[in-house]
Order: sequence, then structure tokens, then C-alpha cells
Amino acid sequence: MTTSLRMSSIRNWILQSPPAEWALSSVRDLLIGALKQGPIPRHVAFVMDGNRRFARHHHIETVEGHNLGFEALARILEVCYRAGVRVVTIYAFSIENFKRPKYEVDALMEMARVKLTQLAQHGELLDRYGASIRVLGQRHLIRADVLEAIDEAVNLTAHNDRAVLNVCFPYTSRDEITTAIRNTVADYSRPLPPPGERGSRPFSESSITRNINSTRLSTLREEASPDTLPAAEHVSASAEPNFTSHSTSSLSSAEALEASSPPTSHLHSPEFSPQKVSNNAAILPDPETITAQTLTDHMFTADCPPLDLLVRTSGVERLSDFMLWQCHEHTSIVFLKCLWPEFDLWQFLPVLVEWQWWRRRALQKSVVEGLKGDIHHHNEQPERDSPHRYEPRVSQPDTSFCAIVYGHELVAAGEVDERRRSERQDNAQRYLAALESGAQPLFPHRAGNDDGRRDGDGARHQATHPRLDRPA
Amino acid sequence: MPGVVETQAFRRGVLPDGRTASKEDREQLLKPYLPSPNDSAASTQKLQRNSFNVSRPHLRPVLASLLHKLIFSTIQLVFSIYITIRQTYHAVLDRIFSILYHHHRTPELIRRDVKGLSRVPKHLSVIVDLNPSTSSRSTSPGSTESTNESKPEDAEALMKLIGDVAEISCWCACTGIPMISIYERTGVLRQHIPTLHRSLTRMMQSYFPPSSSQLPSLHIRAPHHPSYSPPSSPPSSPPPYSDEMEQNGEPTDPSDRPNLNLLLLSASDGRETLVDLTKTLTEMAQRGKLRPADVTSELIDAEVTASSCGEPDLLVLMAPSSYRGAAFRSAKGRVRKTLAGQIDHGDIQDSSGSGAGGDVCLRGYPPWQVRLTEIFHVQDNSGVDYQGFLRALHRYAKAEMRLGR
Repeated sequence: MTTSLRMSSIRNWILQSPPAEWALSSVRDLLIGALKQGPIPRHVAFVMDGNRRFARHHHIETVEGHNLGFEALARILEVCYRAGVRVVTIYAFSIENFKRPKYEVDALMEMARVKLTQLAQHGELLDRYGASIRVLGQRHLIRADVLEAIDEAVNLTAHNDRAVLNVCFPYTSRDEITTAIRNTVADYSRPLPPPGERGSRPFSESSITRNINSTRLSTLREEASPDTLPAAEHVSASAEPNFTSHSTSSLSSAEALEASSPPTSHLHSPEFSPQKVSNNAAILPDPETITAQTLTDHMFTADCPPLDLLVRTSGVERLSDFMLWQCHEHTSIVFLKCLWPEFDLWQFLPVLVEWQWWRRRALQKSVVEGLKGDIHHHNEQPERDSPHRYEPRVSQPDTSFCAIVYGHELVAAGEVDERRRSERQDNAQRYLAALESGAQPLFPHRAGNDDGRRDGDGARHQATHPRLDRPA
Repeated sequence: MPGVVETQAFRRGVLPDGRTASKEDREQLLKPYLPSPNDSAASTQKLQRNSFNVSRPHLRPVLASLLHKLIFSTIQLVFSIYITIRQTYHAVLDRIFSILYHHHRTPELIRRDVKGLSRVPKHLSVIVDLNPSTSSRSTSPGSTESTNESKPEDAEALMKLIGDVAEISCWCACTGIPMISIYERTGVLRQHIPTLHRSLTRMMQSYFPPSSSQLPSLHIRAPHHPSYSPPSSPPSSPPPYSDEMEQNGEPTDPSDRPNLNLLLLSASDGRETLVDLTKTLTEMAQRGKLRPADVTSELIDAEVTASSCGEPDLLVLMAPSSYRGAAFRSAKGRVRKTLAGQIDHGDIQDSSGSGAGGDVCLRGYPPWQVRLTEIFHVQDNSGVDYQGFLRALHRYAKAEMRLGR
């Protein structure tokens, strides 16, 4: 123990010397700048585990360990934000942590209050990083004076939008999920505002009814034969110059259809029986429209990008009720052996590099898989320069990140002209014919791959792509 | 990052010259280490200046970014080399381990391997993966022709998966783990429960002597599927009191054979379960049967546990984390598919989605249940093998549960 202490004091003395300090900080700058050249996770979460163990190993007070942990947090936040991470979520205090000895809980609370007050004093300095603080969790469990400090810090930084620091204060993920479900239930059992209050539209129902009635009368008189399919009529109505008569008649038939059968989406619930609706009872939103995205939107982390990376220190390999919902298909979880107060760029760098390596590989793979032909400008980080747009919201919650990244390019790639596709088909057919006739191509693998690469991008986006006829 | 002196001063609230640090002092200390006041403003200023003086100013940032690019490429290159070495190392290590600890399908050997463990999980969960090249096809709503075409490969992968699951179940039966849940993302397993049961029974018989009392009775279950424990399960002839069991300290009552519950989970038991629960709760609330305040963590827990499963004690990731093999295999499968013009969108998603980063990736595992689950993974593992299972159990026995304290 003594040797390690002496070593650390010698090391400190060396580190204090100005040249060493300067060199170290330039190396840090260089590394961070290098990291920025690759893909950077948009949302990183940390479980700051190991403060107490660190204190025990170094024979210092538990509270001092937490203090050192806070400094490690400051260091790592700097690394994250400078590298371009948008959102950092930290697990500061679990609801379960209230089970700890009272003096420790009190000390932690006090530390949170002091640090937040300090932050609030240096508001304008925090603005330079452009980070806003948010506190996620059960507010009612926090002491009043701490809550005050929290509110002040949150309000002071609310206008910053370059980066976000989520502090999970008294938080558990099950509690978060429960809250999300409860709020969803509450939202959906709140009746929609009656049609009159939903903003005034320039059309009145009575005049429409009057119009319909008059048209019906006129159609009866004229004995026109409207098509049976309203959808087909819509198409013809938009195409034909004789607009008015057709559109109104289509409207009437649509209306008739509506009246004869209630909308299908409302069928399953007795609440939405047509009588009730006509009785002007409260109209409730349809519970079948709830998706995973709805719940995601009700989580505390609603407007954050999906979690890309979760780091837990101190070698414990559990989530411990943290970010359960957010750790989904594409979240890499990293468990590190080092304790949190020791955590710094040097421990974080391998994690980031490995993450970048896998991510680049996945991207390259997907590019090789057939996108190459049509996507020329595949920027791995299309939104690095625009902090406000995290990513396009997709209705399908589990779309892979690749589809998200390439979302707009895919649309463009879908418009492959017919000529090229038929050309590819011909190529494929020729290849198949060659295969069947027994003539082995020189590089069968390469030839197939090339062919596939160019063929894939066309076929991929055409669901109704005609199937090739193999030569019999 | 502030230097050591500043850090000390900041931490103690005392300046190097002994004064107590005030707010202004602290700011002074930190000033040199903060980024410039306003990056965006500075850059626009620079731009304006550049328009006047074109020759000089670009050089520095360009050089810096070149340097950064160079360092980045170097790091990535070095890392590629490192990861190749690491993968090789782990592969060799796994090989050695699997030779040292081989089960030889003998329950006694397996029991000896786990003898020293202080505890064994009550509920083990395993994440397995169907062969990536075929998993894409089974998830994607491809046409029937394409599935027909790829039948042999599909069936092969499925049989391998079923074999793996059967092996894992047998190891669990030998170690005395009563409950095991298998997570496979696409959910193919639950479409083949009878096949799985048959192959499991056969595997069990190869582990245990047919007349053994330890031959566990098997229950295969999947959420939203009826439990499958058919009458065709092996004949349970009441065996004589065997001294072998006594040696191993097993429950020696011959009347109750050990149970083995196998639960098949898939991605639809993940977030979707919670979504379905929310829908039901919403309907109840709309009918006035429930107030939003009634939605508690306990209620959700009870419902989720009833519908799928409780919290597993140990989660073992046995899906291969190596990319190389997967990429190669999918390349092979792809050639055939593209020739027939059959690529659809699901394929892109899946190929990139099969684990977009590193080792630990839950792949959509049910979120509610993993709360305190010990997660174990073998770095760079290549699939299901016994030594990984054994290491997971050893690790679990050592782990300390603190429950927030």
C-alpha cells in the first residue's frame, strides 16, 4: 500500500510539471480529435459503480470516494462532449440506494446539492459546452433543499441544446417503465376534445349534409349510375375534368358506406360502439394504436436518441435496474474491471475504439451487401454537424440503425430505372445458364458476388419484383 | 483537462497559496481549460477573416484534420490487428478449455465440474442465435419460393440450433438447474416444439441411462403457446433406489423425478409484451375498471411473470459474437438469393442488426426481466459450447448481490 502511495505521489509530482501537463493535454486533444473522425455514439450511459470499493482499497472515507467519482465523471463528460456525444446518461442514485446507511445517503444528497449549486454559480461556463442538465427519476423522494438546487441547475441550463446530461437521480428502470405505462394509460383514457374544440375548420357539418342530400336527390333524378367502388371513383374524379358531380357522388357513397358499418379499427372495443359515438359521449383514442414507440415516447429519455453504448465499471456484470427499456437490439453493453474513480480517457478509449470498429464493420458490411451500386456518398455520420436533429423518427421502432442512417438514400436508391434492372436480370440469367450448362466460370464466387451486388439494390426496393424464370 | 494543482485546489476548495477559493477563483482556475467562449461565433469570424486573406489561414486546420485522420486510421488498423489476435487467442483458449473440460455426455463428469460451486442459478437464460445467413430469411417476409430454395441450409441451421438447445438442457439437467429459458430472436424454435421435444428426449437418453431415476421429466413452454409435455415422454419405470444418486447428494426420493422446464422466448416477448399489457390496461381504464394510479410496478411484474417468465438469475450470451464467419456465410447465401432476384428489405435490416457492436448485446431480450440478472458472455465466443456454460456458472457462483446497499 505504501509503495503504491509513494508511486502515486511521484507520479503526481511528474504530472504536475508543466511540460508533462502540456504534453498530456495535447495527447488528449489529439486522441479526441482522432476519435471524432469515425462514428461516434449519440447516446452513452454510465453506471458509476465502484466509488465505495475504491475508497475501501485506498483507505479513505466513503464520501471521499464519491467525491473522486464525481471528478471522474467531470473528466469523462468532457471527453464525451468534445468527441461529439449528444446525450450522456448517468446512474447517480438508485431508489434502492435509499437502503444504504443514512449518513451515506445524506452525504450523497449533500454532495449533489453542493455540486449542483456550484454548477449553477458557473452557469455561463457551462454554456460553453452547450450542455443542459436534466434529472430523471422520482422527484418526490428527494429532499426539499436538494430539489431546489436541482431545479435551479436545470432551469439555468435548459436553453442549451448542443448536448444533454441526464442525471438519473432517484431512479430505477422498472419504475420508469411503470411510469411510462401509467402515463400512457392516463393519456389514452383521457377523451379527445370534442370535434368543435379541435380547432375550427372552415367547413360546417350541416352544410355538407345539406349538399349531400341535394346531390342524392339530383342523382336520383338523373338516374346516374355511380360506380360501386368509391376508391375507383376517387381516382377517376381526380382525373376527369367533370369534377363536381363525380366528387360529390363519391362522397355520398362513401358516407353511405360509413353509416352502414362502423370503422373497423373501433370494432374490438365495446366502448366505441356507434351508438355511443352518436350519443356524443367522450371519444377515446384507440388502444390498438399503442406501439413500442408510444411507450418510448413516455419514457424519461423520450427525446434522446436511442442508447448506443452502456458502460458499467467495477466488473459487475448486471444492469441493476438501469436503462432496461433502452438497452435494446443495438445497444452495446461494456463491463469494465476498473473502478469508477479510476475511469478516464485511457479506459474509455479502447471501449470507444472497439465500438467504432464494430460499427464501421457493420456499415461496411451493409454497404457491400448491395447498397454500393447506388449510394456513393455514404457519410457514416450524416448528422454530426446538426445537433438539433437527433435522427429521423421512424414509425417502426425496431428498424435497424442502418436503415435509419441510410433512410433517405434508400428512397433515392429505390428509383432505379427499368433499363438497368433488366440488364441485371439478363446478366443473372446468363450466369445461371452458364451454371446449368456446366461451364464453370473462372471465379465463381467473385462473379456471383458482383452480380449480386449490382442486382441487389434494384430488387431490394421493389417488393413486386418479377421473379426470374430459370431456363428449364 | 485541468492539471493536478487545479484539481487539488478545486477539490479542497483551497487555492495553492492557501486562500479559500471563492466562486471567482474557481472560475479563474478553470478558464484555460474550457473551450473557447463560442465555437460557432468564432468559426464565422474566422470565415470572414479568411475571405480577406485567402493564402495563409486554411493550413492549420487542414493539417490538424489530416493528422486526426491519420491517427484514426492508425488506431483502427492497430485495433484490427489486435482484435484478430484476440479472436485467435480466445479461439485457442476455448479449444483448450473444451478439451480439458469435456462432458463426454456423462452426468457424473458434469456434476463433478460444478461440485465446488457455492450456488447454482434457479433460472438460467441463454441467448442463442440461428445461423445469421438463414435467420434473415426466416424473419423477412420473403416469398415461398425463396424459402423452398434455401430449405436445406435452413433446415441444417435449425437442426444445429435444436441440437444446441438440447445439449444446454441436458447440462442444466445434470447440474440441477430446474428452469431454463432460451431466447432466440426470430422465434423459429417455438414453431418446432415437437421436433425439439423429440430431439431433447433422445439427447437425454444418451446422457442418462434409460432406467435412471434422474432422467428428468420435460416441460417445454412458450408464451402464448400451450405447454408441451406429451405422453410420448420416456417411460418412467420406477427405478430401484440407486446408490449412485446418494453419492452425489442428489434428492434421493425416487418418486419425484427432477423437473426441467424449458421456456422458449423470442423478440415478441420483449418490448411487445409490455406494449400488449399497456393496451389491455388502457382498455380497462377506458371502461372504467381501473384507474391509472392502480398501475404499479408490482402489478406489471405479476402480469409479465405470469405471461412469460420471472427474472432469470443468470443470462448467458451464447450467440456468436464473431463477425467473420457470419459475414462469410451470409455472403454465400446472398449470392444465391440475388441471382434469383429475391432480396427484400428485411435482409438489410437483419444483416446489420444481428449485433451492431461488440460482445454484449441483448438483441431485444425482454427488458422487464433482466433487472438484476447476472449477464455473462465469453469474449469472442463462437457459439454454444460446454466450457462457456461452465465458466458462466463459476462466475455466477462468485458474483455478489448487493441489491442497492
